[in-house]
Amino acid sequence: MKTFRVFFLLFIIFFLKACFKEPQSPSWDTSVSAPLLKTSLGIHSLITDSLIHTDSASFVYLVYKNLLYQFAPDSLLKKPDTVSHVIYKIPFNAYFPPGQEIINKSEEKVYSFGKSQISTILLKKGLLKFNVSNTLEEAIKLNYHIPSATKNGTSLKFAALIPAAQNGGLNYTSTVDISGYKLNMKGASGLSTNTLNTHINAFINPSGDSTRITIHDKFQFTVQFEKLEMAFIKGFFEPVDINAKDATPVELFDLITSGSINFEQIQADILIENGYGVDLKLKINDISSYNERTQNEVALNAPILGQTINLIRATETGQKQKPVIPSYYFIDFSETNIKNMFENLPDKFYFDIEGQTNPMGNISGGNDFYYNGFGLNVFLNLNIPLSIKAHDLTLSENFDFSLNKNNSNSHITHGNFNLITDNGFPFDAEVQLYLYDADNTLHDSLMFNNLIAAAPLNQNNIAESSTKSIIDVPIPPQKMEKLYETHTIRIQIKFNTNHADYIKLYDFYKMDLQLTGDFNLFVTH
Amino acid sequence: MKKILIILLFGYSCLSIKAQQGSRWINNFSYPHLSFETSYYIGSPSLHNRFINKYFEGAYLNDATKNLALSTLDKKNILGGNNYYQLFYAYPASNVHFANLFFFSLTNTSILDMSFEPQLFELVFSGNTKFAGTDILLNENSFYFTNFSQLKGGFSKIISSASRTHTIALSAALNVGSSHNYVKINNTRLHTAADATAIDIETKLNMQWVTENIKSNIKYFNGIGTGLDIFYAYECLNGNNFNFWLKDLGFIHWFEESTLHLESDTAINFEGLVFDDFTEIASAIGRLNSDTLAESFNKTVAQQKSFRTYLPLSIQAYFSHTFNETFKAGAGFQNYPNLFKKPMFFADLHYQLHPTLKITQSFSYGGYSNFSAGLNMMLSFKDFLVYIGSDHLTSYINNDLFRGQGFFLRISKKFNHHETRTIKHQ
Repeated sequence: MKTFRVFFLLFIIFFLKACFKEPQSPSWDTSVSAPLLKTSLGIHSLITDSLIHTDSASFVYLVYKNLLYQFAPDSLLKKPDTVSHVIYKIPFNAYFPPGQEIINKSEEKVYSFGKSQISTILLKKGLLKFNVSNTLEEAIKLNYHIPSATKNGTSLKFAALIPAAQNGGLNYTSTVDISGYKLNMKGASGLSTNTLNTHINAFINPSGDSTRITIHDKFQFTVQFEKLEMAFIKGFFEPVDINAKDATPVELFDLITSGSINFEQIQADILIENGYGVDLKLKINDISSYNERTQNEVALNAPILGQTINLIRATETGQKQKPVIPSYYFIDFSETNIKNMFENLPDKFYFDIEGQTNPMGNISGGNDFYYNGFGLNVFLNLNIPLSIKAHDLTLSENFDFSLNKNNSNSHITHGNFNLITDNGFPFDAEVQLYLYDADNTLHDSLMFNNLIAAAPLNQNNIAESSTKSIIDVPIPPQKMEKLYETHTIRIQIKFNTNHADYIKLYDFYKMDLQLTGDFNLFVTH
Repeated sequence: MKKILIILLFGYSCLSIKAQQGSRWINNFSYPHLSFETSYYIGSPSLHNRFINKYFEGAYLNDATKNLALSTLDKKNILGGNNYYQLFYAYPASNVHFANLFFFSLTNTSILDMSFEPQLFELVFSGNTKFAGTDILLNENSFYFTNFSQLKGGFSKIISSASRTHTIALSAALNVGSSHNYVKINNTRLHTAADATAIDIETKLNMQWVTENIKSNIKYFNGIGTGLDIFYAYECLNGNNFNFWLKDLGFIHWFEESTLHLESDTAINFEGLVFDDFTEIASAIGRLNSDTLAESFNKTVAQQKSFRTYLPLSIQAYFSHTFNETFKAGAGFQNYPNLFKKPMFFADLHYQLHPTLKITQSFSYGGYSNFSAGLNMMLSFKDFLVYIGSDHLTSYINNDLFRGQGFFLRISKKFNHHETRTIKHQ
């Protein structure tokens, strides 16, 4: 027996050994020379593709369209809300048989749109919400009808059996999708405006029992519009004042953190687009560019400022695909100080615009209109030929960074790295990497002390060849450890054109970058 | 790439290599017999034991260690070994005409076998910096490691005459494969540009890789197969004995879901991790710690594909002469034709110093060593037999002159048997 115990033990050892072969981990240092990173940065790497346009000679233009101001439809006309509100009560106690009608009411609801006189509304989206409160001890059969709300020739109807009250009361809620319904706001006569016809009747449940209704009982019924979006409105829109003092962000220069840039030329204009079926009177009082970093503000200096601009109403085409032809007003800013405004590298534009819709009143005979998707928009259009002078123009961006040496069989302990650049851009560049720890504290940097030299220009001021530069980046062990502790890297590239003339940027300009290293790799196997 | 190179050189460090030329002969059981046996052997005719030990112990390999190892390498080198654990039970047959003995065993075997050139060794352990601007040519380098378990069952039959005895034994095995890693790199050129701007690799790569079987969740059951052992012994009354053994003639079929198979002529031009956008630069730097060359290799098409491998067949022959009751001498050879392991010739001298103590001197040349000498001891007390020894004591005595290392241990228990048949012992 003892013998078998011994062999049983050996048997267990056998399987443990077979299943759990614990690896040993030898380690060694090895010296590696290898390319690490490679990229080619062109204009498209720095600027969003959609902003870049080129001419036949590959000269690059920055084409930028910024919505400066939009006059929202909600400002033009307020939306209707409550459709019906009915309260049923009786002055004495009485028994009502099944099927007994208790409400039969037709109503012409007149909405207040201020002084606006609306004849037609087509709903793009919307809900009709029914809120019913019932204290009657029998169910109520409810029929609700809006004859003047139609869709595909059928009027809007709602029917429901409102359950009997329990424990003294019952609240009932239901919604009906009214998207696509056309609301005839002319009332029963067809001559009114802002008017909606409704009809409601209610019965004691025909399949129920006789019920006693007391003076304390109440059947209350409310119908409301919710989440309305208009597809079309027609009528007379009362004059509304436009007072817009606001700011709009400019994202063109987000990466730039310091330095300056001069543009040879900037073509700029403001385009006012009126898609409403109302006349407009506008006045641009002020536009200025603001740089939050430098807190410098440059105001536009243009003759149009403070002048009244009259904009005629848009035209209805009667075509479903394109129902409106907007009217436009174009203001050319090329002969203004717009260049200075952009050389201010703005984060935002401030503007002050005032005006009025329908300044002449109801001159359309109630034919003002609104179509969804068309409105009053003020655009700032820019066409910037990238012919520039840059002086210490610094682009910076932060990136999350993780270099974990614990999840790999090998890690770099130290080394000497080379950034090999082939610069086809006709400007110098300096690259720096700043290392931030988990607390976002700057704890070291990788100083690329050598300059990436500019490509030479030919007699036509075009860089046809590139210039090769090699930048040494020694990373001793202490710095390497800090790199492993880095959570964020801030990359900073500083550009200088160093040329008296403006430098034109072409689409074919690019900078090839390759990071190579002779480094020590600590291998754990 | 680095992983492949490392594995090519040394494979899993979990491997504990064991083997010994003194294998059990099956014709010497006359009683029921249960034994546990383990053995390991590792060696390289050229690579220093000191380096091998440090590697497998998981030590830090400093420059002195690496340089010493490099200085001993030949143009072509082999390194390998094996280990096994075995439970064995033999039972003398009674009333059976076709057999005198039945035996069963459960074995777990690991085999490492590799060949490499010194430039590969240098590339892995010292890096490619010193090769910058030149080509590294790798002509014949391969790594093979396998681990499998076997359930064997067999019988032996003794045919005796007045002056001689023939013993024939056959056993069949059910093989269960756990690991199989095979990488062969032939006709490979690795060029590092002098300014480290590019690494060019042209290689003829053949890789069969069996990983853990994730789908089945049976971690070590990645393949199945069968095998056959054939044993023959001839004994004369004049003391001459001859044994021949063909072992592990068989295969393992590796399951598709555990495999990674690659066989291709690959040309890679590596110029660094490529990123296309300014915003990708930080993530690209963050990826530098991963094995970028391996990443490039991964882009080549490796596929999951079932495949079949043959067991490391061994052929062993042994001749001995018993001079008297206290002294016997023998010589033999062992060969693994499927491995880089060299044919090994061995001789042994057996001294029965006491009825309970036998000492064996062994001498061998070949295998994963050059010349080795060893000493084995067999102790018997009551029904127990302990057999312990090493055929490579020389390397423990002089680590610089001799190569290879290993030992073996067998503990067996003999059971009384009422119907004992007389089977002649060696």
